[in-house]
Amino acid sequence: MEKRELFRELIKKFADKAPRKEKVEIPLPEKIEGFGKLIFDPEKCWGCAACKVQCSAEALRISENWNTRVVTLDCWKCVGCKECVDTCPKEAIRFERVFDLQSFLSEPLVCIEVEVHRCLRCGNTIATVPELVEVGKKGIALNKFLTYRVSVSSLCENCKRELTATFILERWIGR
Amino acid sequence: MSLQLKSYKTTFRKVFYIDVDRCIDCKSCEVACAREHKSQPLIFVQSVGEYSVPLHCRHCEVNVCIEVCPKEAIEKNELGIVKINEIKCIGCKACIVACPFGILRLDEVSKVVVKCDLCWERLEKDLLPICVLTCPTGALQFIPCIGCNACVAACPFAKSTQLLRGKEG
Repeated sequence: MEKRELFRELIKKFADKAPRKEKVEIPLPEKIEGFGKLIFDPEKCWGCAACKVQCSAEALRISENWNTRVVTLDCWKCVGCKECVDTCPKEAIRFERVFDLQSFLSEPLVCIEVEVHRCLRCGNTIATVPELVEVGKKGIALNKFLTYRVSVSSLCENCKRELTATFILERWIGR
Repeated sequence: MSLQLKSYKTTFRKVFYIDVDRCIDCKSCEVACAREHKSQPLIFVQSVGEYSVPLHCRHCEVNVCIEVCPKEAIEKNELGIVKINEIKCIGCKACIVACPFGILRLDEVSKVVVKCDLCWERLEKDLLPICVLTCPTGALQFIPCIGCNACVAACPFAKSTQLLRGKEG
């Protein structure tokens, strides 16, 4: 990553001296690998963060506020391995073989901003709202802890385990 | 305790039996599990008050995790063991959200979701699952299912899974 940082500094110096144009996008020659542009489709994106998990260059980052999850991309770190494109379950990421000067020099770009659902019991993040909706479509919403009347999709995995253990114990003692 | 897999296949399906009274919260099963699978422990010892309950994958009849997975990375084999295909898994955590028992977890190192696979590699060698073998007090047992349906009665989701089954036809 050090080489890449140096390269970025160099390009920055050139860009400072040259008069700025609106948009500089150069299609990459065939032999050059390791650069590229990622385009996110916010309508398709789940916000599941699978791309961040698989990104080996650590170009994608995730930060969370109380009710939103923000996916940011350090464009200059992206090595064009297309791991995220193959990973994305919703095919929301597109890869273009271009060198985009503006985004290469810019600060981390905010790609996606999605709402986050938090555990009703402890307040930890469970998943994003679009992901929960998608999961709910497949019948998981029916799954309720019968005695507690809490839908499992509104609890985090720790609380789910706790409630299951409590339930088993109640049955065990009252047997 | 020989011919684990053969008996698993043919005569009686073998199931986990948890004796809550005997569990002493020593967490040997967690350690053994982590060592066997070379990942984080896939079994959890959850303490509730004075008691503690070992929790693991139930290998449910109706698998919400399989239905939910966008990459079809979770498979159920002919023995009823639910396994994760580590090549296909992308770590999107949809199954973690869906699992009613909360026993799936994301392994940050290998970047895939990991879960209890009933030690099927050991079963094939006619060995007991490692947690059962390790348990010093016999709180975890691997016994033939006699079909008493006590587990169905005790399942916190029995009604909802039946509803699901009815929906599927």
